[in-house]
Amino acid sequence: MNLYVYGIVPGDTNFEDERGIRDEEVFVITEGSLGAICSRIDHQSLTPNEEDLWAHERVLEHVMERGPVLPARFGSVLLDRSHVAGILSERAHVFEQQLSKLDGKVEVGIRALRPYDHDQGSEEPSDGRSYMLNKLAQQKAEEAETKRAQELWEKVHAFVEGTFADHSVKLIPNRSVAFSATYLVDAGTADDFVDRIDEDQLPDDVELFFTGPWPPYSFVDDGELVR
Amino acid sequence: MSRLDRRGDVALIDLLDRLLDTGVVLTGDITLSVAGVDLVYVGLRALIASVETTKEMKWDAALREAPQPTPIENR
Repeated sequence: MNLYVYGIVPGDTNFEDERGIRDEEVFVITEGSLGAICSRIDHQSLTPNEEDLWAHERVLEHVMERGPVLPARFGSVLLDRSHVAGILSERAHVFEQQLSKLDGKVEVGIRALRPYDHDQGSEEPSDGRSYMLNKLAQQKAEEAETKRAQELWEKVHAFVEGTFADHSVKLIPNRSVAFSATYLVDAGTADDFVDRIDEDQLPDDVELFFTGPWPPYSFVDDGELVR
Repeated sequence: MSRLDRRGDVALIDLLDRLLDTGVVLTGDITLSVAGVDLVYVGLRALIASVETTKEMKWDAALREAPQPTPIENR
């Protein structure tokens, strides 16, 4: 039996009767001032599916209501208790620092659907010159769309300026999205945070989606944490 | 009523983004089994989106256009 790890918490975090991936009982392994939220898993690898992804999230949401938590990447399977304890003690300093930074914080996602015509169907170029002209036109169109996405994000961002602790944004992460942004806000303020955004003041063809509150996945400082 | 989606289709896409691309990496060898093959990756999104099983799930076009995953070394 291996151990699936959901996240890192202060060692004194307690919670009861929580079930995790594959309905396994969730428990905390403590080492020094830290704890790892775990459940048993019978294989070192697992197949990502909707049910298991939500199980991971539900456990973290449950813990998040009781105190700070550093979410772990999906699929973090460790060998046994001593492997878990070893990682907790080895990286205790960084985990403690991150927990204190993220204490009382949640994240909110904002996604804007792209209001542009992104039909890529252009005619087959008949010669080298038209090929190059097509390329150039395409590049210009992309630059213009990135600029529009940036301007749209800035408009949305202006509504919430000064009400968050940290943020990050990706412009045009894929063809159907103008931007995907995430904001770190105080727990309990997520609804107020999105209510500041007045969609009536944005172009009619813009559609925004808000998700959360999430555990602070995106704001764990992985400069030191990712190997 | 809250404008925040917690369990809908968009939340699922955001969840996938977060769980597979962010969060503490506790060990160098995160192994996920995709289409019956164990693979060691950090950037798993594109990989996972490319397999048949996820087509049943409501991932949007987003995932099919994700950057290529970067293999990491086993410890």
